[in-house]
Amino acid sequence: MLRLENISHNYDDESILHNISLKLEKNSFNVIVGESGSGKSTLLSIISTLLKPTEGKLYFDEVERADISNINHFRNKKVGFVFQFHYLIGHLSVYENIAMVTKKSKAEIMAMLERLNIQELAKKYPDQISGGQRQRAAIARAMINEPEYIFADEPTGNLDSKNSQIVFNLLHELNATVVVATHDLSYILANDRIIKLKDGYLC
Amino acid sequence: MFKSFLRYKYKTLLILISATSAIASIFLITALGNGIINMYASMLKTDGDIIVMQKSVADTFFSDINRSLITPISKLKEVDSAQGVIVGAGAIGSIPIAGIYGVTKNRMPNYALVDGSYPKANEVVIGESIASILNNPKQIELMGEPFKVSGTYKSDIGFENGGVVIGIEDAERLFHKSASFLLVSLKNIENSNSTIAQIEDLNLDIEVKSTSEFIENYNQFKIIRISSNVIASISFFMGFLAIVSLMSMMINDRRYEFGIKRAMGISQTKIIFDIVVEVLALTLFAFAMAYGISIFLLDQLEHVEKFQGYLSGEIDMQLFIRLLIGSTIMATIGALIPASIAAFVDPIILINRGQ
Repeated sequence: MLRLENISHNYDDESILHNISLKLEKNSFNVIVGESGSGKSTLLSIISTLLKPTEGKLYFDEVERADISNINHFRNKKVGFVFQFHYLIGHLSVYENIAMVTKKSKAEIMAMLERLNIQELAKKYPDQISGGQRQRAAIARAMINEPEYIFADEPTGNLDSKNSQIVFNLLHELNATVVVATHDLSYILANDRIIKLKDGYLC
Repeated sequence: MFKSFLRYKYKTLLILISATSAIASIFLITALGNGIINMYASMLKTDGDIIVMQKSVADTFFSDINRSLITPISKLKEVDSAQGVIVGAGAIGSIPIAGIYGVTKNRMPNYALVDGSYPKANEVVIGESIASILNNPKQIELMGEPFKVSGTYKSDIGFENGGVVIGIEDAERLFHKSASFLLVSLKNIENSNSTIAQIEDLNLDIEVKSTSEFIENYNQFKIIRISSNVIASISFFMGFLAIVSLMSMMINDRRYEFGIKRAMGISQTKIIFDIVVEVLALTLFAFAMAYGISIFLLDQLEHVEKFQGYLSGEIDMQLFIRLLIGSTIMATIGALIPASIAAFVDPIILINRGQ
C-alpha cells in the first residue's frame, strides 16, 4: 500500500500542492486527473520519490520514504517510471537503455521487448524510432525489474490515439500499483480510481 | 561507456580541440621560456667550470674585465685552460640584431666548422642560421664594419647558431671592452673552491663563481625564469580554467541524463565514476595530442628563419608530469563539481532543467 500524509509542496514562494492525504491500494490502477497547472506532475513526482515534498510524509507499505535505507536500490527494484517524453538516453540503443537499469539477462530483456512488440528495434537509437515505439521502449524499461509500483506522467501526451490505446492497454495489464497522471480521460476503465486535483487541492 | 563521445561526435570534437589547444599552449609557453634559459646556460657551460666577470655587474653584457688576467689564471695549478669572451649584439648585414661573440683563439674550436676556417683579423665565422638567412655571403657588415666571412659553423645552441664569431681583438674594437667574462676550465672540478679563491686574489674588481652557481644566481636568468614562470602560471591558470569550464559544460549538458539514471535507481557513485572515467579518457587523449602537436611546433619554430634559431624549447620530464597531473586534476574537478551537485538534486528537477 502507498500512503500520503498531509503532503504540501512549494516551488520557491509558489504553493503547488496543499495538504494531500491519500491511500493507494496494492495492485490498483489510479489516475490523477486535472487541468494543466493543477499539480498532477508534482504530485506524481513526489509519490514516485523523484521529488522530496516541502511538507508531509510518504509511506510505502507503512515504511516512510525517509526511512528507506537505499533509495536508489528502492527505485531500481520497486519502482518503474514512464514519462511524457519517454526520456530514453539518446546515445544508447533501445536494448542498452533497458540493460542499463537491470541485471537481467539478454534473453529476459529481449523477451520484454518481444512482449511489447518492439524486439526488432533493440539495436535502434531513440531518434531512429517513432514516438509510439519510444514510449513502448520506456515502458519496457519501467517494467523490466517487475516493480511493485509503476508511475506514468502523461504517457500518451505525445502519441496519436492508436498508440495511446496501446500504451494504456499495456499499463492496465500490469500486475503492479499503477499511478498515471493525465488530462486525457478517454482510456480510463470503469474500475480505475480517479484522483481529481484542482489548483493543488484534492477534489 | 564511451558511446556518448561517438554519438555526439561534433560536440566531442569541439571539446577535444579546445582541451588540446589549452594544454598545447601551456606546453609551448613553458617550454620556450625554459628553452631560452637552457640555451644561454649551455653556452656558458661549454668549456667553463668557473666564470670570471666584473664585480657587482648584473649582466654579462655590461661586464668588462681585463683579459690580461688569462695569463696568470692559466698558470694556476688546477687550471686546464682559460678563455676570454666578449658577448655583444648588433646589426649583422640586413639583420637588425643578432649575437656577436668575440672569443680568444683557444675557444674557437668550440664552434664546429661546417666549411672554411676560423677567423683571422677582420674575418668572421657565421652560424648556419645566419648563413642561410643571408644566402652564404662572402662578406658581411658587423655594426657597420666590413668583415670577410672565413667559414660557417654549426651549433646546437640557438643563440650561437644564429650569431657570428670573431676574434676577441676585433670584438674589443667593436664593443670597447677587453672581455665580458673569462671561462676557466679545470683539471678537476672538485678543486674548484680553492681555485676560485686563488683567482679572486688576482684582482679586487672581479667576481669569480662556478658556472653552475652563476647560472643559478644570474640576474638575467632570474628575470627570464620569473617571467617564464609568471607567463607559464597564467597560461596554466587560463588553460586549466578552460579545461574546468569545458568539462563543466559537458557535464551540465548531460544533467537530464543523470536525472533519468537516478530516477532509474542508478547510484550517484556509479554515475560520478562513469563521468570521471569518460572525462579522464578525453583529457588523456587531448593531452597526448597536445604533446605531439607541441613537439612538432617546437621543432618547426627552431627552423623558422625569421627567428634565427633563437626560439628553442624542450619539454622535459618534469614539465610533462606536472602538466599531465595538472590537466587530469583540473578536468576531474571540472567534471566532479557539476556531477556532485547534480548527484544531490532531486532527479525530476535535473530532468526538467536539463530538457
